[in-house]
Amino acid sequence: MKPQSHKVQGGQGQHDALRDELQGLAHKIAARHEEAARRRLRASTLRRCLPLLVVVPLVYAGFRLVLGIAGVDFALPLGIVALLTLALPALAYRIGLASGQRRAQSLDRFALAKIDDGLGLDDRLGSAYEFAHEDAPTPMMQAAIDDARRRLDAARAFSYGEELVPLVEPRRLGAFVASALLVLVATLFFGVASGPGDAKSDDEASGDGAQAKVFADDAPIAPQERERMKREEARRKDETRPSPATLGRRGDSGVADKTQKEARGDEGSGKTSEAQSTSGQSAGEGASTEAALPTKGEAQKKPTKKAKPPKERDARKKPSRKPDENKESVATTGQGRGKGSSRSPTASEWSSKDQSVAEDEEELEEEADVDDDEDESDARGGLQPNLRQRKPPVNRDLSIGFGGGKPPPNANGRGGPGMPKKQRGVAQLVLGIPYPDQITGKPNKGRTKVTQERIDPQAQDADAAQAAAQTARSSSLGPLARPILTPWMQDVVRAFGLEVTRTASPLGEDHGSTSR
Amino acid sequence: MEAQADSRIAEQEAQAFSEVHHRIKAEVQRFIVGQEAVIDAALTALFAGGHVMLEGVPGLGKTMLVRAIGEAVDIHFSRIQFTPDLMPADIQGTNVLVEQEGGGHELRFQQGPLVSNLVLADEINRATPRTQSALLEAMQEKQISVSNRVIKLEEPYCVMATQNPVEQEGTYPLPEAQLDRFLMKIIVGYPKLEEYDAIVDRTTGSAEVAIEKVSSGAEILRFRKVIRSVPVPERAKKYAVRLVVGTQPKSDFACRLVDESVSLGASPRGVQGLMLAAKVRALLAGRFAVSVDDVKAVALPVLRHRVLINFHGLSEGVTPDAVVAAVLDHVEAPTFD
Repeated sequence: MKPQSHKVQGGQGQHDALRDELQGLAHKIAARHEEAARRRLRASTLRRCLPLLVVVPLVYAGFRLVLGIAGVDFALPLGIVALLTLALPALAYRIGLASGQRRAQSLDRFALAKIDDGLGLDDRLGSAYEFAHEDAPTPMMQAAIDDARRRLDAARAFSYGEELVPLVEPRRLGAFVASALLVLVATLFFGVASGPGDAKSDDEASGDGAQAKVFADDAPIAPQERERMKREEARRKDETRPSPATLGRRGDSGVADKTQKEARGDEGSGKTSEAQSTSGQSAGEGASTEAALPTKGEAQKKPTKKAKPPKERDARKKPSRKPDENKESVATTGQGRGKGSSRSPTASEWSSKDQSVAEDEEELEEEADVDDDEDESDARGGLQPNLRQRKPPVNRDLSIGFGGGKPPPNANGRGGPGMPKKQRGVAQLVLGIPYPDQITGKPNKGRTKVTQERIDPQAQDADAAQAAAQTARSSSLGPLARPILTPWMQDVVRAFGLEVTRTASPLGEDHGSTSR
Repeated sequence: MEAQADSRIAEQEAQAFSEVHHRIKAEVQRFIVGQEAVIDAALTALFAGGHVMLEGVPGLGKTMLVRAIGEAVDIHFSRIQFTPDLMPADIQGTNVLVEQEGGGHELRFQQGPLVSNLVLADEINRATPRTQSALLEAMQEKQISVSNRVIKLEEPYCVMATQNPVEQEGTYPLPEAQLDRFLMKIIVGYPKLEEYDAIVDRTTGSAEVAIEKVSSGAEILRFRKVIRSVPVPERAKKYAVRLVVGTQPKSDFACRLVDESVSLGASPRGVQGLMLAAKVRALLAGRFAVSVDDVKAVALPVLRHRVLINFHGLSEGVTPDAVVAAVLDHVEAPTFD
């Protein structure tokens, strides 16, 4: 036997036939593999690009929505949108293909490895192919080549069938195309339904209020709405039934109420007398309804109170309230509710002051509360805290102890240091002053019984122990116990060890405490 | 023609090696029931020129296996029972005072049991590190240095050590440097149920089993050259390197378990061990080149004792075998794709 260093001269020429044979086999397999690999790449790229079909429609719809809310009519031709919808995934597909196409480094070796695996030859063909390229193969290499040559027949009969994956699943493709179409159709519908319409209603809001009322009056009232309005009207009538004393003062208001019951009719005839009297304020030359809202008398009463600007919320609700604009409105003109608000104020004593009672009464009640607060604040003659911040109120429990019969948090139910003493001064009695009504200190001035105290640990400097001062142990240490740790103690030890290891070594390695 | 003749000679040598291996194995199996994988691994180490660590609970026939191999091959066999009071001089040899015939005394060097062909270091972890380290030079350099005397150990030289994984009290775990010198660490397990009958019959009967010498030291040396001449294709070589690198934490081929639970991975000596053991396996399988499967098959016994588990891994119950298995799962052979 010759050692490996011994090379057989002229070996390469002898193995040309085998090498060519193996190469032919390898090329056959490699071609099939390449085709399958290309198909896999195309399929995977396509799979990744399909979701991009819905990106452009979604972005376009989002743009339209945002711009529609902002009052800008934005629309692209459908052809451009469709083109962009298809262009984005197509571009991504091209990029994906370009980046995924890698040249196989050694397709021959790969193909022979496939044959070896398929026939269970344990790399015989691959090794022989490699050794056949050697200039001077060793005897053992020569033996490996001969061994491979004996198995060529089986390799020739080997059929390599790599499954060709489908390029795209039809259901997946259909789902994404349908999604894209759906979004596009929805965008178009949105454009038709709300885009130009919003702009129109804005114009109406800022323009002629009377025209808005026409739309409102023409709208039919739902039966439920009509019932509700009747009930509400009856309730208000009961509440505002004039006493004999006030009856004289109110004068013709009863007539006005009576007239208001009939206010759901034609434009002119539906107006109450007061409404007719005030309608000119809001309908005048497209003037702001906000400016025209208060009557003259109220304006004198509350000079600082101004009608609130239309809230953003109203703007957001525009599309949904759009159909309500055509409802029949019993509101008097000049209520400051432009563009035919969906609110359907019923005539009441408030209506005489050009106030409206809307559907969302809670909201108006909240606004009234705000007004009350402001009134109170004004009455106190100074800036008062806003109690509507929904913050928890300041604890004003002045009882000795911890309030509500609660046990002291830091003691064992026997008093001791707990919450600081509360001041019983004036500051906390003045409502609304967010003054911290606690002062630090001990509960009482006299003797206190401290049963428990919480002290945070503090580092103390101490001199190092002198090793020389340590004397020898006088007695034996005795037997060292080696307890068997219970599971929970093992956990504790483990956690401690891990912590020590983690903090001790910056590299996270513990060379000192390792074992095999 | 010359190439054809060389090829035929190589094939004949490989065939001869396979036959001798089977003969030794058959002879050892007359004595040892079952444990085929253990016998294969031990013989692989013997033919590859490495040392073996046999680990198993008492009573599984570790010592008997090594003794049987020593008897089946015509080589000098010595046995050292490692104990806590064993000194380096006890195994290496020392100068003893000898009475001369003509009167007077002289110091004469008396070599220890380490000077042999096949050394059984029984319960090696019971000796102190001082004595254990006396093995280092013998295992790696195949020589012993005592005072100013250097003794070249005769080839084939093989140390087969045994140790008990339990009863760690009073033992001295082997240092990493010494563990790394073992080509393989073989875990000896319990025999199969059907093997117990044969064990009882052979060991408690009146008939004594005599092992014949079916090979020799010279033959083993010759086959070592044959084994070393087995070529390693690029794919298997790269895979072996990847496996070894995969046991090293924070390396390119390390899996998560290795990063978290291993403090020290296999060294380049691990790749050497993988290649040598894989070559033996390839020849025994009737092949003339190492395959990826050969490397995979010998990875566990070759790498398990070269992986050092850190505290985190120990606390999680991670074993070196689990780490090597994870590396085998994680690292893929080059596909040339």
